[in-house]
Amino acid sequence: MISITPISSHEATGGQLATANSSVNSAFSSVYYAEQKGGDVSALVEKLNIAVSLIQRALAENATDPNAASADLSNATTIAQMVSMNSTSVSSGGSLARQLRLYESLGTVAATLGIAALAYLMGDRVYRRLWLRVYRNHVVKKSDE
Amino acid sequence: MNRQTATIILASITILVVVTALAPLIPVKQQRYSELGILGPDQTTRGYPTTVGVNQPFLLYGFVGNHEGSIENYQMLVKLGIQSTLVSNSTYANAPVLTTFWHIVRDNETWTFPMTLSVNQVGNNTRIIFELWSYNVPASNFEYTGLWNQIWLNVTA
Repeated sequence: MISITPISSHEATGGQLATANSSVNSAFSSVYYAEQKGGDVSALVEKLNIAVSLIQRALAENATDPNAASADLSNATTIAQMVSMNSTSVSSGGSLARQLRLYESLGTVAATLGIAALAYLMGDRVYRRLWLRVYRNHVVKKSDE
Repeated sequence: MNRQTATIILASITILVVVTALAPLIPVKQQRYSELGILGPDQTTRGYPTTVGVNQPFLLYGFVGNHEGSIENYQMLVKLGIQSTLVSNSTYANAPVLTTFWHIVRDNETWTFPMTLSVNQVGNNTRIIFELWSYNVPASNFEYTGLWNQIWLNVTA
């Protein structure tokens, strides 16, 4: 793997562009780790892509409308910072949900094994008692009477 | 039903339920990869331009697929190469960047996007080189994925 930061080569609006770029990339890192912890990052990715679109629009319009470009970069930075902040709660929500899923699975396994053990040890007795209760009013007659 | 049959049925049901309950906890190993494709103006693998005028816009579509097992921050660099420009799976082209497309793609999703491009210099065997880069989180920079594509153009006056 070879690495550079390609988007930086278009630093048409200087520092503001660099700030927006690094905010988006930093927010992406936060979202990435939130996803690794099991969080649902769909909404965050959507917002981050809005920030990316704003940066790309700013690059396109910089030559003709620098004020609009500057506003777009500022909005992109704000969105990216919000995404970074929200990713913390998504991350902890994901950890909690993952833990709950673990407990749920282990609980199901424990309950299944318990029921199976009970059925194995006491199944016969329970079945006979039930059978007697169901058929207690039945009378057995000789068939040739 | 005799006791032996009942025990076998009970054991089978127990194993089935236990395996089903534990399945989501077992990590699945799958091949991880990204995809890069360049499509023609009708979003198929046909109709690529071969001759364009200088500064004459032409439409292509980019296609990127993410099967990396996590979200990916992709940039596609469009570069203007010549016949001798070197590019490979391990080396990105040392050529001027015409434009960059950037998108964050979730796992198992694709990104198809229009690219209106133009070339500002005349030349035969001009190469439009498309390189896919992705953001490496621990290293905090974009890295060349090794995926690239190209179209050959004659750019006329």
